[in-house]
Amino acid sequence: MIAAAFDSTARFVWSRNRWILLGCAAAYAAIFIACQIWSPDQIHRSLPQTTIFMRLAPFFVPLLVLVGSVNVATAQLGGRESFFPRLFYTLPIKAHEMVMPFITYCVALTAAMWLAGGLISDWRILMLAPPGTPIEADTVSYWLPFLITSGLVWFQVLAWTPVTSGWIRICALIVAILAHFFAVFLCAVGTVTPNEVVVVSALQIPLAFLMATRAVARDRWGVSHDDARRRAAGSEPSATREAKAARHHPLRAFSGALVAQAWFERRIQRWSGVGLSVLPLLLLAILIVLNVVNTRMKNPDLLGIVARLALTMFLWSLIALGAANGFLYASFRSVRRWQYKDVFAMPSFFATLPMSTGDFVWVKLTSVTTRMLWFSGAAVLACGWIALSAGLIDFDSGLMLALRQQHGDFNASMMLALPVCAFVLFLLGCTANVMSLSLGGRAWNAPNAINLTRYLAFAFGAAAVAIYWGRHHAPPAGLAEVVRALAIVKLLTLTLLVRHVGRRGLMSWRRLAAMLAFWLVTFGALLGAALTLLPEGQILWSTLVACLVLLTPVQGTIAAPLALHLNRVR
Amino acid sequence: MSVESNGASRPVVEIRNLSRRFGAAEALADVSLSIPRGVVFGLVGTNGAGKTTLIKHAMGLMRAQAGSVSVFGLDPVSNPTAVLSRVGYLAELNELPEWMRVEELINFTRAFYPSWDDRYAQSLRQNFELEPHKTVGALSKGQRARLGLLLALSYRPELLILDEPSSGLDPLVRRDILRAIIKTIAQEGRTVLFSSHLLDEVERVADRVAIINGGRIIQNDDLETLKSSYHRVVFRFGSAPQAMPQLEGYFNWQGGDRHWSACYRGDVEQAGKLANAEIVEHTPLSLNEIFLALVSSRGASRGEHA
Repeated sequence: MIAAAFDSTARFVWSRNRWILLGCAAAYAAIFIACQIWSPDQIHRSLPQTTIFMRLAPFFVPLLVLVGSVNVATAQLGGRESFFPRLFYTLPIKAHEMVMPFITYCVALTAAMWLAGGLISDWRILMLAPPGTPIEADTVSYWLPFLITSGLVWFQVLAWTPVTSGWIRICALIVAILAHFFAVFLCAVGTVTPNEVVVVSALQIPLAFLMATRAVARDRWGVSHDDARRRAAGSEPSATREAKAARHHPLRAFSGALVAQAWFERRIQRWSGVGLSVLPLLLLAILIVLNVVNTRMKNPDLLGIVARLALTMFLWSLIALGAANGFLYASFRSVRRWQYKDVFAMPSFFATLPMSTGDFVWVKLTSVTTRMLWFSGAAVLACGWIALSAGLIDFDSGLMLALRQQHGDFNASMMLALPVCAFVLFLLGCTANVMSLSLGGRAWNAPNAINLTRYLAFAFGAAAVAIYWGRHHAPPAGLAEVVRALAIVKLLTLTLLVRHVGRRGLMSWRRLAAMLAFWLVTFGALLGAALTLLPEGQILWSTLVACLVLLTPVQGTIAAPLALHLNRVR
Repeated sequence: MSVESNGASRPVVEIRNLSRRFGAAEALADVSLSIPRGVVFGLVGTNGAGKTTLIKHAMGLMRAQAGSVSVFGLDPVSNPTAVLSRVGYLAELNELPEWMRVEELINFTRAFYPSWDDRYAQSLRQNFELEPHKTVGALSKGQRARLGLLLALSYRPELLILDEPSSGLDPLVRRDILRAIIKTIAQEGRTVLFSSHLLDEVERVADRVAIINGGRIIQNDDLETLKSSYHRVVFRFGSAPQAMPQLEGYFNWQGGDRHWSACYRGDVEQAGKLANAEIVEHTPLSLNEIFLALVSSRGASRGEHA
């Protein structure tokens, strides 16, 4: 029977993850061929990404396979139920026979990938030391695969264990991750030996197996569901809890459909906003603590380093928040209800509401813009505070003094604020573009295909120009003409798009005008920032304008009503 | 002639030569249908026959690849607000937001319909025994169907479209849905289009029935006309026939040995006779029997052609 369980699990895992596994095998094969042509050491030096890929793949590929096999989206881990595939529950096998193949395959896959990667790269993937360090037993971190395998099997256990509240699972996951990081730290500082890490990690596998078997057995017989219901209810009767919830969220009288829809958007994104704010807030908390420590210890160097790091992280987290919010607001579902296939499909309930597609898009655009303005405002204030408290802004620097003398204190401050405004506006446009990509509901539809082609062409073009510029220390001949021509093409397609959306009645002309006005303001801010920051005469006025026309995101926003229309009407 | 009287004479739903393909599969093939005002129109068919696809076209959730669809004289795809504000819709999988409380969802939906009747909504909520503070996610399948029905009825739509409303529901919820249909009919000038494969329900409330099979409308008639025009005729043969009997106008032959029966559309007295068999009896068919006879004979003939 156990052989049959292994066989059916293998088929199940393969059917759900064959593209991931084949893709990874292809990448390994490519690296293997490359290692036959050049030495692994040469590849490691000239293309360090291959080693990074092989270091990460044995962790991420089994994780992806786990996620694919048990149908767990990261956001769904916040749910209460077990994510063990239900179809196994009806098979005539015991819980341990269900669990064993999954854990065995996870361990085997991780081990196989580490071994294959090690053999291909001459064990470079296990080298945590800098390049050039001799490969000896001491420098090869052979304990790492064991530790990571332990982390993966615990991930399985947590995904399969039903909980009374999603937060319990999330907290348990954080604790497990921190515990494994702590083990790395202890090993690095020498508190524990690598062999001790190997032994303790290896012992985690049978322990995790026992825990997983218990969780799956309880879930299979519904014991955990009963427990969960009873514990969730506690001593409080459900009617009291519901009445409390009703008092907490009293009914609002909506003056119209747009107001109601805006309320809906706020409600479904409430927790995602809290979740997205956690990382920057943590960072800010660390900085506040450091600032307090700094004032007592008088160690400006430490604060300066950390502040620079924090500013960079704030900048990147703001960009990541823009992308995340773009995706979140494209959906009509709360993030906790996201499923694989229908995340962005418009539910029939909303599709049949008597509200125009343009109105739905308008509410989404204004909601996401409002949230991003809050995030951006908070980030700008936090960054300003960090920079000022760490002494990173010097009002008496050469540039500032020149600006203050030329334009006066107030105007000089405004000129410096302009790049910040331009960045925020640019970010808002990018967020709307990301939202528009997902509003289509399907990965492949006409607007998405056009957008993807546009982005790829832009990325490849920019990369080609950068490579040429790097080699020849000058831009390619005719680049300015190409940029100007592309800007004209963009403006022409934008005109056609606006005309198409307006004529089909997908968005009112007034709102289209508002969108274009926003774009013009962004463009103006970027132009102002460029004129402030760029030295005079370095770039032709027409080329600068063309560059900024290409850079300012607008098509995605204008195409958003068309994308949602294709989602609503199939 | 006033606009109102002109509108009243026009069919509420008018579908002409509608075709739809999903890749290689033909979901609808040259479907034409007209639903007059004040009629309860039953759309019956097997699973995958094309009922939901047809209804989605009427709701403007699908664009016609060929042919045309008009509801209240408007194209539902290009005029979603004008059409949907007059249509109540209940789908088999009504994807209601699960995190909302019942009262929140009612309050939210109300904002979209100027004709929303608060007192009617409250009375429906009480009749359906829906607790206002409960979240949608905590409701049973039957309660969700009731909530969907409440949301579809509370603004007193001129056209009520129900897509497999009773599928998988218990008799109590089915009774509520039927009552809602009957109540809607009672309100003058209102029209109901509902799809189902529970034919006894259709037979109880429909004025007109269309049978859809393989994406084609194979029958579209008044229920009474339909029922009175189909008969099952029982033949007794002198000796057992060697093969299945064949006679023009008869279809869906069943039986064996000396006794065979077949369905016939029209006046049995005018039908052809078999030389070696006598008609023992002929009885009118129920809607269920008509449906089975038509669909299975179509399937058989398709099998023969294949």
